[in-house]
Amino acid sequence: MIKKRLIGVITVKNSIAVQSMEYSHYLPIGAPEVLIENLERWGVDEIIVLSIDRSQSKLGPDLKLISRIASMGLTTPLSYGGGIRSLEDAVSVIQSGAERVVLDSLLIKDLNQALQISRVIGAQALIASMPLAFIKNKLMHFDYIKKSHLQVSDHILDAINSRKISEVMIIDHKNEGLKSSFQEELLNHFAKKCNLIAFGGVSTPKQVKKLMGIGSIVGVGVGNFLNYKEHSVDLFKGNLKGSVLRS
Amino acid sequence: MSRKNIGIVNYGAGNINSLKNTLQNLGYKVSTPSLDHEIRSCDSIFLPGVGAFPEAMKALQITGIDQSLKKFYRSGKPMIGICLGFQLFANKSHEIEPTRGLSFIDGEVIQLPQTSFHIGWNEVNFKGNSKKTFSNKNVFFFNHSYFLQLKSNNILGKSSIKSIKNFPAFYKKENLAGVQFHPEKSQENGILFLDSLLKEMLND
Repeated sequence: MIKKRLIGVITVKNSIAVQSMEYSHYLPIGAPEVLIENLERWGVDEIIVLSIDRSQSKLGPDLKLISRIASMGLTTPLSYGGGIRSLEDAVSVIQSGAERVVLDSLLIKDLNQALQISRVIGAQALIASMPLAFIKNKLMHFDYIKKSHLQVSDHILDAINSRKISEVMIIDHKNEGLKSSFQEELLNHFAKKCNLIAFGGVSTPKQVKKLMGIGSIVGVGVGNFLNYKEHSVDLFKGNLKGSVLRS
Repeated sequence: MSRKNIGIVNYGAGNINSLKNTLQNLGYKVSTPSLDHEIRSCDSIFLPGVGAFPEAMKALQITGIDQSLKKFYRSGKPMIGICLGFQLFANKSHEIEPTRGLSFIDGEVIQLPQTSFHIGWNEVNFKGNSKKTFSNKNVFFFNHSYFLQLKSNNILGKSSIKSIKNFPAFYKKENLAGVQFHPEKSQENGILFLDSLLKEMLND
């Protein structure tokens, strides 16, 4: 049967991989390609690269970065997000070497464009990235471009529930980069039939194991915490290897 | 090391780079043909594919590549479809709207039951030569929501999800092969699979 996925998430700013904390502080780590090479060698199930400055800078997706990664001979599934403004951008991302595209600001700015992307490249190739937080006990969607929180859009939820978007990456943006702090309550807002990826504040194998036990979770994203030790992927997979996760 | 020329057909609907690098690392000479004479000159071709069936068929028809593929198929040289590329070999697809395919395989592309997505690593139950290399525990990466439904003795690999058991994951008949999974994105298992399949089909 299908396995759940341990996903290595690489945050990129100015084409450099960074350690990101709470969506506001960034420390440079180095070339994304080096991190990717490690993650592939250690056997991560998927890699998501998020170029967080491309939308804000209106630069479009970082196609050169994707092509460089593809030319490494990467044999691990790659998803890319950052700067995707249109169908043309999404198609370019796929042609450059990614299997799937991650959309964040476009969902808020122009959902129709996102749905057009789904129609052409297929819903299975589309991940919605949703940084969320509880503000005064209400679940809110963080618009990282405007640095403001919005009500979670019913239209976006409709697109998810009607399978126009295959998976949703729920990002606990307030706890991103902080140890053992991902809030599971963020997942409760979504229907059980949704396919969710948890990311932001996931730092221990114990957390990964707990999240993998949730029915709607199809994958858990871990960022910089995967870079601290050699073969960290094995440690994070722990005794889930072979059963819930691939060996 | 083989110096056979493998063409990855470039019709604008696929992730070509990953497959190209994998095949080059296996020692093949790799091109990305889009014109008729380029496709004809290949020793073997791959039809990759990411996206929706109707758009992909439209792209093949507008460029005339569909005719080149039909000629190549009749030539008897090896032809391998990956994911959507495999589905394009069918008679017809019901994705979005009914669309005719290349009709190399007598089957139809339909949606996975309960509008499921099949995304991630899953086991493939092989028979034939591949069974000697891969146990049922070996997993490959899938990323699709439609599949090619067909009845044939040439289904050499099957996969299962909650909503449907034993749907075709690997098909091979004479010079034509197709996989629903992405061997170029299935790490070691995928490389091994591609290597053994190409050796078998090219008689290397």
